[in-house]
Amino acid sequence: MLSKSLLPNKGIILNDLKRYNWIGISYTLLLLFVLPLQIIMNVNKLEERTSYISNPFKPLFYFQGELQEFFILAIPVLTAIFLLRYLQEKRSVDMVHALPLTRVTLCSSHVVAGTLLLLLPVLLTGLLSWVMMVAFNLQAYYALSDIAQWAGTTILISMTLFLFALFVGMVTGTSVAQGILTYITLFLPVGLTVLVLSNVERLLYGFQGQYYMEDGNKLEYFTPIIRLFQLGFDEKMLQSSEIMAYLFSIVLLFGLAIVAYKKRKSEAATQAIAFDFLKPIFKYGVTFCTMLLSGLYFWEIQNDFLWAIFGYIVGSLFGYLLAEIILQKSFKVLASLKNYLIYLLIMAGLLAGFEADVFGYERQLPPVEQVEQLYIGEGGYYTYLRWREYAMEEAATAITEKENIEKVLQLHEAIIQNKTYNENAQSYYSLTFAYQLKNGQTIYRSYALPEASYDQYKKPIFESIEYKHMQFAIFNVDANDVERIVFEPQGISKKAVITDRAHIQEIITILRQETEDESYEQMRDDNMPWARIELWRLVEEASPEMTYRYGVDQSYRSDGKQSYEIMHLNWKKHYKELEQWLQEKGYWQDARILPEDIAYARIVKTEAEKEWVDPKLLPGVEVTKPDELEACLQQLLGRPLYAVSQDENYRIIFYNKNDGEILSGYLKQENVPLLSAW
Amino acid sequence: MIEAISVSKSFGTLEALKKASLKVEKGSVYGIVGSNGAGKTTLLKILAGIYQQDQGEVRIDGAGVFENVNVKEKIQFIPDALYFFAQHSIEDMAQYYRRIYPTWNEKRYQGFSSIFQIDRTKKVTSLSKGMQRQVAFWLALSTMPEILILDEPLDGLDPVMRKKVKKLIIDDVADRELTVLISSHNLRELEDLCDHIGILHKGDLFLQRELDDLKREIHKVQIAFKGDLPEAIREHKSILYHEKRGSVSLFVVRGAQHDVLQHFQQFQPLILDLLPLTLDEIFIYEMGGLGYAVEELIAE
Repeated sequence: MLSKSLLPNKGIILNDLKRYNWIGISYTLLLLFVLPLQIIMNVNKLEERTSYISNPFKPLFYFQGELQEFFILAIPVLTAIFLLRYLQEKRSVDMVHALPLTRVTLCSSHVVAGTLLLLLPVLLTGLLSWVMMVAFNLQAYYALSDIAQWAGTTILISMTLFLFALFVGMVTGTSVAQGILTYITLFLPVGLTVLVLSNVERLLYGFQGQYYMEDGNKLEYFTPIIRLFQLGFDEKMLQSSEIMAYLFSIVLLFGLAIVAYKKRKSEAATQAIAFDFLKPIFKYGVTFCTMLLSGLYFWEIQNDFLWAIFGYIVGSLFGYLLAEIILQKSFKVLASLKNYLIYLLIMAGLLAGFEADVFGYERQLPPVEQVEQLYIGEGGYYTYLRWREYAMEEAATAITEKENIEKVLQLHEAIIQNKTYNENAQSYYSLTFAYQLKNGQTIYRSYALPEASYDQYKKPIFESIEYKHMQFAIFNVDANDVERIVFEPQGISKKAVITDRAHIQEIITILRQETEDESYEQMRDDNMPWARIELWRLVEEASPEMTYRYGVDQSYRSDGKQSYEIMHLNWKKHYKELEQWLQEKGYWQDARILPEDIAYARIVKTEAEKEWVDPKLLPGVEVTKPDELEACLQQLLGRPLYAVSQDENYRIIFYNKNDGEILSGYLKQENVPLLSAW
Repeated sequence: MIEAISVSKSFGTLEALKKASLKVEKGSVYGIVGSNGAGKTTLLKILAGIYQQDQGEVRIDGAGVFENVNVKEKIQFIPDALYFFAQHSIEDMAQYYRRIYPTWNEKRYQGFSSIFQIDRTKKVTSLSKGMQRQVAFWLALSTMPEILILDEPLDGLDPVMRKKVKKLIIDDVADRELTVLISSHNLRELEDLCDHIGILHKGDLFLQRELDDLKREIHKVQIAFKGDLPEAIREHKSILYHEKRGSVSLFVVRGAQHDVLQHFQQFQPLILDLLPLTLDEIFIYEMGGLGYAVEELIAE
């Protein structure tokens, strides 16, 4: 008796399969196209394949790129829409609901039919891929376990999507609403978070959405759509915890679909939302999202508060009317605008709250004695993230001395006090603070500040030893690990290679000393460095993940036998001690460009409209004397001066004997020789 | 036995049924008459277990209908707007019902093909409206229902078809004690089919009668006198209606035939005719003040 009202009904299942077998057949054909067929097509290419090209068969999810993911994304939802099609039309729902079957039976029967339609194509494709593997001897490229992983993941994700769409179908009354709402809600965890955080970022000074988005929340794991694409592109396969989560979701969604079906009224067909209590949620949800989206758009385009308010109002009004039109299935919705005004008032209150900073977020500064340690750095969230990840791995340092913490707090205070001044600047740089408090809490703020502002506050901080140890990777290098140091001057082919262990030790010690001695002004001057310094470290295998070492550029090189991690530093012109050491040890000649490497140089005025004109055709002076060339090299700037107008900048180009350009840079006016000869 | 006790149902702000009650005995043919929007379809769909009532109780043989498999197996509902799966032939549809209804009678299904004479391999949706309705009856009767609920079954059918369908229903009622609930917006349509009539108006069944009783107890009398109509003739307590057309007077009187005749004959009329009333006439006179609702139904 119990089974009769609960178990799936064979008649319904067979009828579903009879009506919708075309879904299964199409799905099978599509999958056969994206997998077994592609395998055959790649087999022919195997002979042409050179060694450095990676395995053409892996990951199996990458075949036909996004196409495969697109199918996995679309077919299950389509299946759910078709299986529940009868629910969304009055005549068909009456016919089916007059049958002597409970809704539990109907729902579970559709689930069985849908599962068969989605499962069999995958299993068949998997089987064929395995046959191919055996037939073409492809065991070296992929194994049965890869196929199993592919099939398992595909089934898991498509079943989750199918049951999710089925559940959405139970709460919506039209197939269109079912399809649209399925994808919208699938994106909602990420979409709404991004929208809210991006808006708060605009409303709260110092708030940075990225910090909350990527800070361990792992939103992509809640969005199967994003997760699915990662399978193909990043080879980020499902973790066992995710597999459990998907299995759990499948069971949960099945239960929810049954509950919703039991509560659903037959007469809900053709209404957008089948449950009355969901209608306001839908209405204000749409209103809220369109408001945030439109507001953000005007923030980004106009960068103006009043425009943003305009955007919030227009967006919310549009969303509200749209939702009303959908719910009432009528364009006569103006009468319901009274509730919109109430909504608008609440939102105005919220906005005023943000503007007045009622929670004190913008003004919040920790008392110095509560700060355990802090990070301060130019750059935004990703710079901070690299520091933090690095700090976790190799214990990079932070600022802990009370005196320094106080100075940072003073700088931070000054920034908060001058909010309006900061916001009205023309060009910006980013400055990020992260305080780790003794109670375990972290206060993170990031600001866009006018170029070259707050120097007097920053100078003592940036010159502190603690700051330098935190920021510069040279302090984290173990000299014993470094195989060789290469000085590579720009523009010319010579270089100094140092492999002597004692010399390597000495250079690293000197570089540390130079960095510690550097003044704030020297840190940020525009002088072109003499050379790039490469610190070569032997590593097991080059891995791109290691590239993000904080405070330094890094690259990888492999000579076929050994792999190196290379840290890039600069031989700045004020590193006099280093210069002297290089001279003493005889590396100096090769470590920098010398007047004898240069045939002549040409100085021209920098004019915007003539930037692409060959400098030889522009009026200017030529420098040929070695002492003058040396003087020019000494004063060479890496970029034009921003403090003077473009017309007052001088460009200098160095040529070799063959008239080839080897190096170019800028000079300050006072450093241009023979100015009178112009 | 079908029982609805004080059943209410609303769709949003629209109150389709307001405490409607009804009782249908086994083996009877009960006609529900009402104008468009009176709530006929809603009531039938609740009785068929498609809609769930907001308030009140619906019992079939003592048990609730909604989500009750055992009860619903005994019911067949043929709606006003028929639905068949788009690509299904008659045979496909039969296969569908065959698998779902344990009561399916294959012999009967096969036997009906000689009555309906429609090619079973034809797609149902490609058939004419009248033929589709025949298919609906064909399939419904093949499941051997104990209760047949029909929403406007005769609407839009030609006279030949009407006769055919009516015969099918009557045969099953006679042979198997089939209980039939049938709705129409036209009282006349149901006259020769129903033994009970209920009139649904604005969501409420305000009148339910057994037809035989009604016909037995209400009479139309045509009477003429040499001179004026005797005043005393009006003293009969159950005169529902009186009209004078020249020298002929018309009375509608309730009561036993014998009593009525006796009453009029005592005034020695020139002419005295006792005429049968049509169903709608009965209702109009019976209803008195509420007659307007019935008139509406007849007007169509």
